[in-house]
Amino acid sequence: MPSAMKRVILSLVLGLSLTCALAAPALADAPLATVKEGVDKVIAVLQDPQYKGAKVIAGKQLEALRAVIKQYFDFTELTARAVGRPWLKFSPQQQKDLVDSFQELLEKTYLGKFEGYNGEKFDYQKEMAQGNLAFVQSQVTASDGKILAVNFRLIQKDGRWFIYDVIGEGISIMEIYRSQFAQELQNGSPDSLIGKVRQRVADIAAGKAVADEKAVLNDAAKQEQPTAAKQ
Amino acid sequence: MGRSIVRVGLLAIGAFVLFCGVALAADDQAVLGKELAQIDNAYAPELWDASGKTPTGEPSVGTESIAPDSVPGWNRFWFQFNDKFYYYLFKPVAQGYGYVLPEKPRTWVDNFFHNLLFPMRFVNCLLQGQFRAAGVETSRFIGNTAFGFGGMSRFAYDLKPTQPTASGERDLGQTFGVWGIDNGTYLVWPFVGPSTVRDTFGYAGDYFMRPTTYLNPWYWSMGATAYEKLNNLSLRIGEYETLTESAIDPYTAVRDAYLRYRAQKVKE
Repeated sequence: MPSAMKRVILSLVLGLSLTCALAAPALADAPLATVKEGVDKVIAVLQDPQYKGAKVIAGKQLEALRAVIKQYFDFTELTARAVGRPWLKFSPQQQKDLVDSFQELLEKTYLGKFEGYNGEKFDYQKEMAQGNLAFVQSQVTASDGKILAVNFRLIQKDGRWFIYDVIGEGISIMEIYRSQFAQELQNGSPDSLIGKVRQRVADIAAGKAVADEKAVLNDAAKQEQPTAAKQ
Repeated sequence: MGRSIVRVGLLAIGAFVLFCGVALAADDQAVLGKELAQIDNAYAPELWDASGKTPTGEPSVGTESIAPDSVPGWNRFWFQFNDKFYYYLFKPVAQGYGYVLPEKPRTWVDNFFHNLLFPMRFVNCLLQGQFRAAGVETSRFIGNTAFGFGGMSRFAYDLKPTQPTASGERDLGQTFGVWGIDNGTYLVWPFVGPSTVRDTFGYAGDYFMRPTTYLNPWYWSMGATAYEKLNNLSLRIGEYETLTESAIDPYTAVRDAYLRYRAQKVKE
């Protein structure tokens, strides 16, 4: 993989981890304020001394974050848009099943891999709104000093804004899955797509996929170098 | 003697202020370009009307419009090959290296190589008509080389706390894209990874603009490149895994991520 690609993935992991984990009951009424409020509170949760020493987000901390996800992130909207037009042919049960398993997959991979807050700085640039859709631009300064463009797509429902997509360096979560879903739906059916997503989740849970070696490696590095590399 | 030191010092400070100014001015331009590119694709098109039942507009498009995947057999084979190579050789070696050397020195090495690639970025900035960005790159190169321990410190990047930097990645494939040359088909190469016909030609051209190419004899040149990649990977382990693990078809996920990322880079 070219090193350029790494930036994308890093920004996606950052963006999705933080937005997936939005954890606060207070409700903002503007797109940018919604994102900012959520990210700020997530950072607070991630820095909560209660969970200090954990290698990865797990157990109580993960539960706490997941319990409030729905307040800010609209997984149904993300799933529907990733599927696109065929979504209309899904039965309500199929829609629900796909949303649930897709959400689990994203949590397991992006959120489960997130090693915690390393001093990444969010700098909110601007918001744009058009009807019930909005777009918020931010720039994230990663712990190694690299600047990543992380943008959010939002939708207004019942007078509230929900994030439904994260765009890291020009690539959105929704778009990454669009072709994959389309491919599976072309060769299979909604049920086979749901089956595939569930299979993937099961694989990861069974440890068939790669373990969390990154967290271990970085922990080893941090013990030798307590301060995050900034230069 | 004392006075000459003062004079040299003043001169250095003057030069420093000058190129900071250039960097700042040029970045405004880069930011504007980036914003325009993003507004273009800010809103996902509505797929259905408010009732949620009737489709509207065009169906969503995949990446075929960016670059078709005309040789999926070849591509999937080398994707699998690269994947195995990554897990069984490249990654373990990078991990071992990461255990031995702390993160900070590895960051310095990464910065050093990035700084060293200045000629490639500079030439491509010029070819893309981004003269201001070329100025920023030059300023940063001088600043980081002269005052940043030969490029190991990125301090010239940190001078503008609120200003986003012009993109740090510029290559010939992107330049060709800016000139309006089509991608051709999507291609996966052994070791190199995802590419397209256009980016392959770009990659070959960039080869001549990498200072490490000119190391003599050839094995030093290869060694330096391999070490650069290894060091970079040791700072990035886990990212490839996240993308492929979260995918129901890793091959498609990597392909789409690559094509969309490149398309975005060309737009910038």
